[in-house]
Amino acid sequence: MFGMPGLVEMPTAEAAPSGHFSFTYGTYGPFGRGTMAFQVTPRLTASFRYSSIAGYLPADPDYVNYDRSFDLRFRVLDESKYLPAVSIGLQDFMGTTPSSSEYIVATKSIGDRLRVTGGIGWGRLGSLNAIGATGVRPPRRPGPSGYPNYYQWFQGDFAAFGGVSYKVNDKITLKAEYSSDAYTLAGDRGYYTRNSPFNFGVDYALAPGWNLAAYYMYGNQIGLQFSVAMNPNRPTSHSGTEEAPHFVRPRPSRSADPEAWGTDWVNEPETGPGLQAALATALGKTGITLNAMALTATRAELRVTNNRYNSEAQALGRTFRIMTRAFPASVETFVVTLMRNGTPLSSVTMSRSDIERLEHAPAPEAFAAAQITDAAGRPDGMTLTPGLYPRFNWSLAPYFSIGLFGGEQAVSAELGLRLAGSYEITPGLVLSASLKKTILSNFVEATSPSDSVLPHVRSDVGLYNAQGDPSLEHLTLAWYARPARDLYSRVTFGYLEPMFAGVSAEVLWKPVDSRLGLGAELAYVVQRDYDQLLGLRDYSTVTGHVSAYYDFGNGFETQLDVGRYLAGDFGATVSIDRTFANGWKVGAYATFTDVSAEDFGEGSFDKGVRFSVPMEWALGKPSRTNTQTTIMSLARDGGAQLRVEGRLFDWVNEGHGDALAARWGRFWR
Amino acid sequence: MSKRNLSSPPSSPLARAAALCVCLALAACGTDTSKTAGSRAALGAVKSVTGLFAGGGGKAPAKAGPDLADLATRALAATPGPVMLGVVEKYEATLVIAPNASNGDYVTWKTPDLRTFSFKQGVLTSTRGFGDDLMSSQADDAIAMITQRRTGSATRTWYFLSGVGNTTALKMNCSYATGDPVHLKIGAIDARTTPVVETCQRGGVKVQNLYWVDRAGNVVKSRQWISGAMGYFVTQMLRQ
Repeated sequence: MFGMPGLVEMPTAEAAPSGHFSFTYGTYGPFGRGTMAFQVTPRLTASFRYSSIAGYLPADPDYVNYDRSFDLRFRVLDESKYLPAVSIGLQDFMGTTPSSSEYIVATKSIGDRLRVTGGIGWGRLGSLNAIGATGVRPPRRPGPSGYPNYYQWFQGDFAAFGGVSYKVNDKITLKAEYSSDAYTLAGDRGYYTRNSPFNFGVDYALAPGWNLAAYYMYGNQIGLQFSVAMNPNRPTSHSGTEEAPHFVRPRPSRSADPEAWGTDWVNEPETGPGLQAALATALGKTGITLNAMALTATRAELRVTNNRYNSEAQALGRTFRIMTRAFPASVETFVVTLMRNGTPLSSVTMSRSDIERLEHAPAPEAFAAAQITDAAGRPDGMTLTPGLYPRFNWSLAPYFSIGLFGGEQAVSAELGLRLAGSYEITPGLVLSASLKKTILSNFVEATSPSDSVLPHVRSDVGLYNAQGDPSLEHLTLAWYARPARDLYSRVTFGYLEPMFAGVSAEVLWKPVDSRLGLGAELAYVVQRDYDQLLGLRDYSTVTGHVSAYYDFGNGFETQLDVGRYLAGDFGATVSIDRTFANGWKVGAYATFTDVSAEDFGEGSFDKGVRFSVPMEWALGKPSRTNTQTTIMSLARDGGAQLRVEGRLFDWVNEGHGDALAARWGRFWR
Repeated sequence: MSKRNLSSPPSSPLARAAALCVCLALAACGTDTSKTAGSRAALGAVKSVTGLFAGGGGKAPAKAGPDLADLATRALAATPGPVMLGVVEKYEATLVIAPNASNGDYVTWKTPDLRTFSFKQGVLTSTRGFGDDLMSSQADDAIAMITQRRTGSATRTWYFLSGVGNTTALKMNCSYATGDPVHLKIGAIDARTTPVVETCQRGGVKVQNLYWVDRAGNVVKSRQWISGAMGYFVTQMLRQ
């Protein structure tokens, strides 16, 4: 019922496979609980829960209490032949209600089907038939919510709990437990009284990753729970249903066909343009844009933009293969420069002989033969593909966005239509706009401004939702460039995001093979009207940050932003993400500014969890799209950042050494 | 709740929205494929999820067994060069496959729907375009055993992509045994072949491949493993 590996309500020492990511919704009596859980490392499980209690205020039968909470569990000891697995955990350790608890629990398998669990719990888990005490549990300290209750941990009465689970077959698991939770608060407030400490349940696997469970709870309630689980390490679809690539065309040996190796073609003026046109067509069919080409008798460089593949390495491999089919035999050095937003990110150089030799070898051998270098500047003889600029692209497509655990709805969703267009005047100079019209939505709407004491930079989201339909999401002129080696720049002007217009400038230092990136961003913005058309309100501010990005190299990345936020508050945002080679990201962030917890409102400071799922992983078809979801505290005004499109690090890093290395497995794909 | 007249068109906002959504997903339009591809793909995902619960597991429907002799005749007429019939057992569809490219000892054969199989001297070394492809192989010792129709043992390595997209290797020990000669006559093939059985094992993975090899060392017919998820691929050469 808590969305973590466990019995019915009691925890176990079990952990899910590393990377396991699950959503659970369970309900019984007046309680509803939605939980998102993530196995951060093989030992550490973290979860975020959104709970509701009906009838929380006896005086107001319609009132439903909503609460957010975080749990952590750490497996101290792995199960061995004679010893059980042992875990230690914290439940609701940052919450706002007095329902926190701590536990130490052991679980042992007996045979393949039976698992026995026993543990002791403090706090809520120590509230029934205590068997001892470690001092007196201090009361929850008054003051702002949202901070850890470390002073209560493992203090006060403790009680024993336990249970068994029995796996009948691959589909059905039976569970029984003794709960040490007395439901003291529920009983005192009168919204729930339990009859028995025993719970029973049956868990049914509908399909791999999809589970339904039914429980008989505390002698008087039926509980139901549904869960969906995913694991970044296990794609939901086959990983490569797509057209096979073109194959390498090896050159004839020089002795067999000396004529093919001649270099006279360089002197014929039609050769270069003819090859460029043919390559542009062939690459275009495989979802790659040829931006520019430079050609000599022995070296060819293509500047390309990958529009189709989640892995830039896959686009690279396809480009190299097509090059072997186009260039005369004397061209031995192949360079492919990856572009994004008209800006070169990195150049990958391979000898044509290596490409011919390694086509049927494992991908790491091709990686060893490739050189990845910075791509600033424009080499001599680089010719833009004729007819490519100015480029106009447009799309009309439905969109579906989901908000999770925000406000008073566990899930809010919006379905609508989005018309988007971009006009790339020259490489790196882009005019773009996006217009949306809602068809169906249950996003929170408001008729009056929020009661925030800070400038209302985010808290009036309800007014924006209510009045902005149709809305102009953005209308911007952006200029992306490479001022020098290792440096990237962006200037964006216009209606930057749904709530702010203005001008934003950013610079990023990120060497192609560096784990560290440093950036700075400065913006002058004016708040937009609630209707999100062209009008502006009378709030303006200067906001900006200096940022550091670091990749630990073990699947974890961190970012630190220090600066001035939209409401004029100063502070810092720290975030950490676990990233997977296929583009999955799961992370958390927190922002601390000089806004007092009291002025900030519920939650005390801005914090949240976020995850990003590549469409390619979910659908098994090549796609560069990711779905990104952020679960944050309520929309508050403290610690709010500008959300301008095209922030440099996000797309620059994708074309750099570590990201290429991580996804190189798809090079020959 | 009143009973709904089933013949009336969907009138609730939800039904209307759903209908519009489906129309647009089919017709999401524009030149920016990165934006339209998502909704098209999402529609495919909805279908595969419904398939999951329908018990089909997303498996392609079995096609009616074609008349092999007829298919062989038509395949031979369609191309003057080498041609083979292939069946990915999991999909139960017979494919007509012709060589498309060669690089050294490797020959890549392509199906009409742009999936490919690469062989080194008749032994499958990689596939492309299917889910869970065989990415590459190191099989030189095994190829020598098979094409020379010898008995004994060798090691061979299959390379796949893991769920996150990393290259993973599966190295297995294989034993080789031969059977009594078999005469094969189909299409333009009329050959006396020796069946070679390759049995490979590692941990819980066991693979058994079969090759019918002629006196020149050509693999005329075979049943070869692609990957755990893809299963076996059956080939029948119609013209060498």
